[in-house]
Amino acid sequence: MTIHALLYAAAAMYAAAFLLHLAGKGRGSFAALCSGFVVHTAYQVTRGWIAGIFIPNGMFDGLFLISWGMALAVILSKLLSDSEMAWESAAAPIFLFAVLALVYPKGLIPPTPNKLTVWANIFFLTEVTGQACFYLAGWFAAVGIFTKRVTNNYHSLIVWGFVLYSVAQVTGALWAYIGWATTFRWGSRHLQSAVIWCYFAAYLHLRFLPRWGAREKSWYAAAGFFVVAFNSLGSHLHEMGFPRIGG
Amino acid sequence: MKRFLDIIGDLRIAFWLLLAVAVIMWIGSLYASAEYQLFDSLNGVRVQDWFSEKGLGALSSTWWLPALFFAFALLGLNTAACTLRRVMALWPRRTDMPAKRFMVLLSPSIIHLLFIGMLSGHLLTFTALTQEKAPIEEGVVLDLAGTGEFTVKSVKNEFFDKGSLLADRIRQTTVELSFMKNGVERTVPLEFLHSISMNGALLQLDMQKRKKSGAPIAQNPADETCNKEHNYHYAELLKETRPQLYIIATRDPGLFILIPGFALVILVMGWYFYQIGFGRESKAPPID
Repeated sequence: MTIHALLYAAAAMYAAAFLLHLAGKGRGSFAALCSGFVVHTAYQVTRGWIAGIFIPNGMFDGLFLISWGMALAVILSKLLSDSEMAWESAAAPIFLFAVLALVYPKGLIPPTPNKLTVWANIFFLTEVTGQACFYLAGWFAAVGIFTKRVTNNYHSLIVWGFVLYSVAQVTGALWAYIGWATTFRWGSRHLQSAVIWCYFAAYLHLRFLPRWGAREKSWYAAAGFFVVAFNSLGSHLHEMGFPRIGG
Repeated sequence: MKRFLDIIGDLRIAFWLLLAVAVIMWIGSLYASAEYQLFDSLNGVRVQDWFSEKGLGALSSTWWLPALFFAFALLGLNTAACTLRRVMALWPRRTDMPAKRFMVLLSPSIIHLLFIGMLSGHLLTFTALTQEKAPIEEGVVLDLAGTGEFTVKSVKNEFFDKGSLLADRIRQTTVELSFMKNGVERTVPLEFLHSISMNGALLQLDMQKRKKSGAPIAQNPADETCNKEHNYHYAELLKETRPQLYIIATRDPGLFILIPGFALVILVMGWYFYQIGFGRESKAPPID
């Protein structure tokens, strides 16, 4: 059995969580989601040894972290929020991203000397968990629109996502500075990262614009799902062709 | 004055400017992907020099750059006016409320001021940066960006453990540099991720993969990756094909604003959102 069996198991539990949610078994769905998260966490930690020695970079590989970050955000929201919202419905996009991780090359891109720094790890962790919050907010906004029960329950997810994403912008800039002598590079990766930040910075100002009601804000947040996808998945898909080890 | 600030500091303008900046950068990212070599050459040089030398000749691909700087200039102006307007409304009320409450209300203005500082720092970097890059090997003598002469005395590679799947791949490189100071020869080590300062310039190590013949491989557009490792795929960096090492010397006045600004903005933003309960609408303070 390889360590990747853990990822398959986590994906199966996320799928079970969504099916139980559809069947109206809220508690069962949440239990399955929590189980999936625990197994997924074990997988992410194990990835640290994928090269035969401990290299933390394997734990923070983007596409494997997205569904983990989304599951974590849903669990925390369910436990800490006052809202009665059906947080478990998010098991659907969590499962979707877990499936993406399943078909993704699972090895480690051999790290460069410039990548062996804690700044790189913090950058990837905060960037992906920030994106996970944006995806979830987009999902819940869309669910609200299509069920005609528009709320602003997704708002705190966007705030959390924005804080995490801002930390990623800063740690990414610091990493680029110590690694490549500049805090910003003129390239599609840095530009698209800034696109996501500006999009959600604009969202945070909507609260002060009276003409933007709850429904319009929901549409904006739902569109954010695609803004994040268009500006981040490309680099993940592109890296599928990279040489990897230990997969 | 108040009427003027109300107009140019309007939050609706801020919203649309942020979206405009996002759209322009998204368009720019498409051009940066399609014409990687052209836009990669903008890194490490002053934007005005690059634009007059290369940008003007390729306006069909570079038009978005002046548009981006213009949009950012308007956003900076709008942010400054909006912040001033808010502080002018808040300041007279500072004695009417507990100091902590006042600081919570003032925090967004401080964040916006720091944002303006970041914009200025980046502008300074883009317009006043000096950067020189040179290939190195043992024995080479260099003088980059006003560092004064220095010699590359030795180059030593450290590899990953034999027992791992990364065996024989480079983990770290140490380059010993020697230079004369007050008539005495001094030696300093330079490693990846550990820059040194020499006469006010920042020295850093960089590398690029080589063919087995020893010639550096031209940068591949496909190397602009999620991991910012645009120079080469390190998977191929084995002992048999050692990479070409470079030293980069940088003088960047924008860093003096950006680095402390990064730390401050995260601290203030984290504190503010913690105080308002990370977006719970009921705890969020009014705009003024």
